[in-house]
Amino acid sequence: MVQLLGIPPQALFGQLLLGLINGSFYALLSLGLAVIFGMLNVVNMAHGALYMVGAFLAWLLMTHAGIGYWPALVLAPLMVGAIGLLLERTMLRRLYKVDHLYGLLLTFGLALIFEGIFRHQYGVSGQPYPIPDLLKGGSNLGFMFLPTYRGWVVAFSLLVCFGTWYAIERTRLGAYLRAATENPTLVQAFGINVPVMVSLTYGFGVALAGLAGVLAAPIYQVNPLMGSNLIIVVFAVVVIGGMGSILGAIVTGLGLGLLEGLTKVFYPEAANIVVFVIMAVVLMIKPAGLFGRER
Amino acid sequence: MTKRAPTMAVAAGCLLLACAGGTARAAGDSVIIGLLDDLSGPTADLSGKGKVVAAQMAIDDFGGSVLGKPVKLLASDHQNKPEIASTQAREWYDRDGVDMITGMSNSAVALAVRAIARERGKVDVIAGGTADSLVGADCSPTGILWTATARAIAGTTAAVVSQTEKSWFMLTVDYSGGKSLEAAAVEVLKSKGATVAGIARHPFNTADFSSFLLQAQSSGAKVLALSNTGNDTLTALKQANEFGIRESGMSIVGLYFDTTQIRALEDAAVKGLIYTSSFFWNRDAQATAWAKRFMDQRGALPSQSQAATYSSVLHYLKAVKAAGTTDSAKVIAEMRRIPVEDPVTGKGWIREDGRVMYDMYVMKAKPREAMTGPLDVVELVKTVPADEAFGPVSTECHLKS
Repeated sequence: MVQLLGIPPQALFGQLLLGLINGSFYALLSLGLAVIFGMLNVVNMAHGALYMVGAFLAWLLMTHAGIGYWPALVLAPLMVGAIGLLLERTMLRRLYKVDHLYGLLLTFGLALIFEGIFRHQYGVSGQPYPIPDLLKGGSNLGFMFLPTYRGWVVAFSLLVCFGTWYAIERTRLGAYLRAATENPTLVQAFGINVPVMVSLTYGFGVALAGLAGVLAAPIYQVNPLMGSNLIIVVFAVVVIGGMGSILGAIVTGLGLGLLEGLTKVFYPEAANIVVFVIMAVVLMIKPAGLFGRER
Repeated sequence: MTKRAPTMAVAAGCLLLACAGGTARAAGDSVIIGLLDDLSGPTADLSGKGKVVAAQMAIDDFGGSVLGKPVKLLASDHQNKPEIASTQAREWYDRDGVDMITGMSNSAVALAVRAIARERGKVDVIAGGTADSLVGADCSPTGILWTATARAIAGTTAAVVSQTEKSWFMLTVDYSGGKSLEAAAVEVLKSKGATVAGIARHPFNTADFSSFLLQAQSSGAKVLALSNTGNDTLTALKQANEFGIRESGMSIVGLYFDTTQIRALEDAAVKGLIYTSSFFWNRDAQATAWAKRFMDQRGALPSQSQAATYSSVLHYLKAVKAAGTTDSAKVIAEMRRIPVEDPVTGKGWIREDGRVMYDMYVMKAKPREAMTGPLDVVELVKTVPADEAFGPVSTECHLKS
């Protein structure tokens, strides 16, 4: 058998593909964080909890209302977005004028409250959520067995990521948004309702987390703690990509997923820390992150 | 805005206090049972909360009083921290007049409390921890182990399944609990002439098992053995289904699985799973009736350690009655003397090393369409007699009584 640096190509390609799948989750979650940080300057620690809420909403819709995966893919993010709007309007908005740290503390507290509520209500064992019929099964790629659902996750999250990037960086609405973060007073003077725009942005950012939650429900256990398990890695991704950089979040998310996959081939024990090692190195060499600009 | 920070700190402090409360001062004229368990952490569903219900059921079934004194139950959260458990156990034994401590999910907690109880000559009946040393080097003249050890659970599954399947792949959580499950199974497999085609070790609380499953699939083994617990097992099963492990001709066994976890997974992920349990609620009509009664009170089915808690409290109270005193040495002597008999454990006895001996059940999860009700989730593969499941007394157990 042909070997690459002593590793059979099957194992290598298999792990790379798995890395890409994980990477697309990282990208989707860190994208929401980056949008919120870039536009609102809020370090949204509640992101992981809202991702969990998204997965739970999908499960609740299924068990209590008989609403399946496909409608949930739209409904659950909308509901999470609505929760986000409510949080922004009632609480977060009061903290824009003060140090970032207060927003971080508030959202961290909210995350604990959300987790506590779900833990109290549904326990810690997790809930089952089946893969939708259309995406069951998988195909043998020769070097590995690829479940159809995972393929769908990669394709769909890439689509959403680049759609978001395009909307913010290339459309008129995105331009207003970016202008409003630079200088809210001036943009408001042009007759644009900046507070509403900011609320909607937060709602959109957390809706992305909710969407990731629905995508994750059939793969991971729907569990009150699923968000806190992931949020630290996702923050590391955002820091490496550059706080607030949309493209940075997407590219770094996918890149780090791949890198994790590679590490699993060559030195599996390090797979869990490789992201953080890179974060430390990037912070030392380029503190603003790979794609970030110095402020 | 800085004014708000102290307010938040106070609010947080209040929350912490609310969680820590809950123990009551004891009166000298009652028999007090302390339940020390995980009431809020990752294993709260499988252990703590339901154990409070189970222990209270046992007290109620016994009549609520013994030797003319009311029986009281105290419950406290050990938060899976041995130091918290130790402090609570000392307070209970030394200050609050607690006569017996039970529960103790998490082996580290069980070992910590065992040391304190042994030092004071007080009774501990462990219905949670599974470390082999609790009936080995850490056995105690006043200590009893109700739950099955890792060796008995994993070894029994391996012994039964290896009669037909000779090639195994171990997926093990990378800490002592997982490794001891793995070691117990591997030891049995070797003696039965089965081979281990590969071992993959994953970190505790892994979200993504795909790369490990890929290794298992390419190993050519016929059995995938999950030497992990709780959410790790559930996630691994879910993703094994996604990657078509069963379709590729492998069967899956859980070396540490509880019947109550079956409903936490979709049908395709769990059907056909083979595992061993100390409690089988369809064993006979009494066991079924007990499980139904538990479900009515708790709103969920009883796990094996919750069932063990019921038995341990009931048997303790029987022994107190027979001894006519709460004196530890006399009660323990009675516990060993009178046979164990109740709806949960069925018939059993307590061996000199403190090991409670009962039959173990190798089970197979039913497909959902074959289930007829909430209690009908498994079929019995084999009943393994106590002596076979638990093996001989460990040579490391030295009792100076």
